[in-house]
Amino acid sequence: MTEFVFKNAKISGISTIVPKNEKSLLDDPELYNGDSRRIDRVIKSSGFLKRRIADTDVTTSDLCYEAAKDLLSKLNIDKNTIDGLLFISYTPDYIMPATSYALHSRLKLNENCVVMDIPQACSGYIIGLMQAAMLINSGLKRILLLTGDTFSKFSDMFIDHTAPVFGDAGSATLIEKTNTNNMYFNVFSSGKHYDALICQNGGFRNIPKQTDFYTNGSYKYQAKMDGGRIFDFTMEKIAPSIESLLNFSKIAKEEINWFILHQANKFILENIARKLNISTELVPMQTLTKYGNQCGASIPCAISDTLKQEISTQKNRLLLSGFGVGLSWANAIVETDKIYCSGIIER
Amino acid sequence: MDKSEFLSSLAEVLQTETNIDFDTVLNDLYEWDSLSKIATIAFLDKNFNVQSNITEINSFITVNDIAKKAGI
Repeated sequence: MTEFVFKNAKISGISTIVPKNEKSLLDDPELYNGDSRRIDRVIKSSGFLKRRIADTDVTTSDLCYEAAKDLLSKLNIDKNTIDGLLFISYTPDYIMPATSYALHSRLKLNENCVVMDIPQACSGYIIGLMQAAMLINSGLKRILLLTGDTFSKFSDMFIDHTAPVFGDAGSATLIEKTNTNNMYFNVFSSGKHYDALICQNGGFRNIPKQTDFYTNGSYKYQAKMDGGRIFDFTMEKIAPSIESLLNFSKIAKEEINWFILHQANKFILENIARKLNISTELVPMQTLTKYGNQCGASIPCAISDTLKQEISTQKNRLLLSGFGVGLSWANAIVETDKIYCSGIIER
Repeated sequence: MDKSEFLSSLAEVLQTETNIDFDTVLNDLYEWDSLSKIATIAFLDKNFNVQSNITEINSFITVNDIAKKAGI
């Protein structure tokens, strides 16, 4: 069983950034071919309403850079003490080099630093926390974890109507060495569904060619989502995997202050809460209505958006659950003690 | 849940204004799309403890197929 506990890492702060440009499902006449009844039904059952869109020249790394700047300055961190930088995203700046190197330069970090990109989205925050905890367990002391995505760049997602679901965002989380904190993880993978949410073009399986452009000049990423298959997956796998991590950690549901689930959609979150037999009041879901499904940044953004006060002033035990592209699903139980939390910052 | 309760609950789940009965052909309903299909899966799980999936739901032709799955 892929379940772990790390005893020497803690979260010290979280900053989250969204672009200023806001779009609503109600003011996009081309959506669902202008079928207003369908738009109303999508809003009612999925909970989606508004989302943020990055400008054409703004990438995920720009948003994460702003989040990192806020985090490091508010926590008054000497940049020379950062010995690990992780960038978790499916929307990197380049195919080569890893975007984390560009961020390492931009953030003016020391050469004594492990940097790496991990391509992950919906479960990326958990995978990133786990990787950070592993590095600290191996002797590093201070890791900057940057997660985010700008799925609005996948222009084809307007064709299969999945675009309105996704909102752009970036986040930065500081993970530090400690001696008194347990972080629990479990991580699962189902490669047989690798094509359930896929961007087929842009890599080396399908080399770009002239016909890969729309008449308006934008690139055909061939990004698409099989929503039904992903829904089936969430209903089958997520609640049992959360129960499994609770059993592993020997922590009772009643000892969890908040269940922060990837903001996939309201309907999925309500059903996971029902299967776990927990109150939906413990499962924040307003963030997806305000900002959309923020992919790799959705969990830190949900914390920042809904729990800023609680996180900044109290001790909390959080259960975090990420699930999606891969297909991948991963959970963590973390304790935080009055950490810095930026709230949602607009840039 | 009796038969009429089943029909009224299902109509609510599908968010349909059409009067449905057991012979209603699902594809004839304006609302029978991916949203209502996943709502139907959750409806079966929540009320009848019956597990289904999109592939199976896509094979259903009439409301009666959903009722049979629910054990109504």
